[in-house]
Amino acid sequence: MNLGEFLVALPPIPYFSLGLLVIAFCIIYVFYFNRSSGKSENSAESAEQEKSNMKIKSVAVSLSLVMFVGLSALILAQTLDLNRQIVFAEEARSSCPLPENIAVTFLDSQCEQVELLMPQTFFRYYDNNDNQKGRYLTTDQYHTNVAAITNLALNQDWGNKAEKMLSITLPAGTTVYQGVVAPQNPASCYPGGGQQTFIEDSRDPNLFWTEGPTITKQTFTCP
Amino acid sequence: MDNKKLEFVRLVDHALKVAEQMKSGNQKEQINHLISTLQTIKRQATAGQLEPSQGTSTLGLSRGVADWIDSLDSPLLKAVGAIEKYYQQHL
Repeated sequence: MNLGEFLVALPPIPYFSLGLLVIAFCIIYVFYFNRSSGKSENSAESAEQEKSNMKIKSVAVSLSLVMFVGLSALILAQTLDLNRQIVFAEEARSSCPLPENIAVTFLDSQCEQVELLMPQTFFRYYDNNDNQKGRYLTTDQYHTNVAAITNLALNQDWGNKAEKMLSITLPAGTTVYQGVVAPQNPASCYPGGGQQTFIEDSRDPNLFWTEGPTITKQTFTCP
Repeated sequence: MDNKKLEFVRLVDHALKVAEQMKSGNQKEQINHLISTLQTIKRQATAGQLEPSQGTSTLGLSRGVADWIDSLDSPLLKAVGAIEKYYQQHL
């Protein structure tokens, strides 16, 4: 990890603490010079000292302002995730225990490994026998195929029009990987954002696949 | 074509080669979809028409292959995963 990555990865608290220290130091410094400015007896010496104090005060105030503005911008940037561009082109920091090849299908390569404590039902949207069963499931129930296509980023080049839905019940003890669907190119057509569940073995005989309710078919268009 | 695009196209060509070798297997339909998608991506990249990833978007290759491939250690999944990684990090 280089210095840039380290600084971006740091939470705002250390920056904030450091900034507060500098601002406190500046304020104390300004007060100290305010109190000591009237002590000199000689008027020429006093004027000279006052001039010097003013300079120091202005530097201290400027430093405080710069620190305050800088910190505010940094904290705001971290809050709004504006540092994403800095992370761009760096090594992906995946928190997903899946291999990188699969983790990439989750938004920001982030997923969570969960062991089901009780049987749980998921959904899968498909179109024909070729894409009826697979490892990608969701907990989201969509009423139209277009909602499924956009939220689950079902690229139409693969031929899945998502006009049918299956319910899949996974038994207790099954390990699943859950996260958010990553956008697919072109992101204006396939923004993702839906819930995504990945299972390692979709051919496990203990999985219970049943036809779900019919969903409304709409025409999907991608400019 | 710049070095990044050349490397990207090289990775696509490698995945195409691996996919072609699997054409006679039991997942012929999916392999054909993959080959067609890879060729489209290659064409777009060569023509400079591939939308930038901006570090977030994927090409849907890993999503497409990981869904149905028999083994998650498959060389095909590794090949398309390498394309996705390069796309997210460099394009």
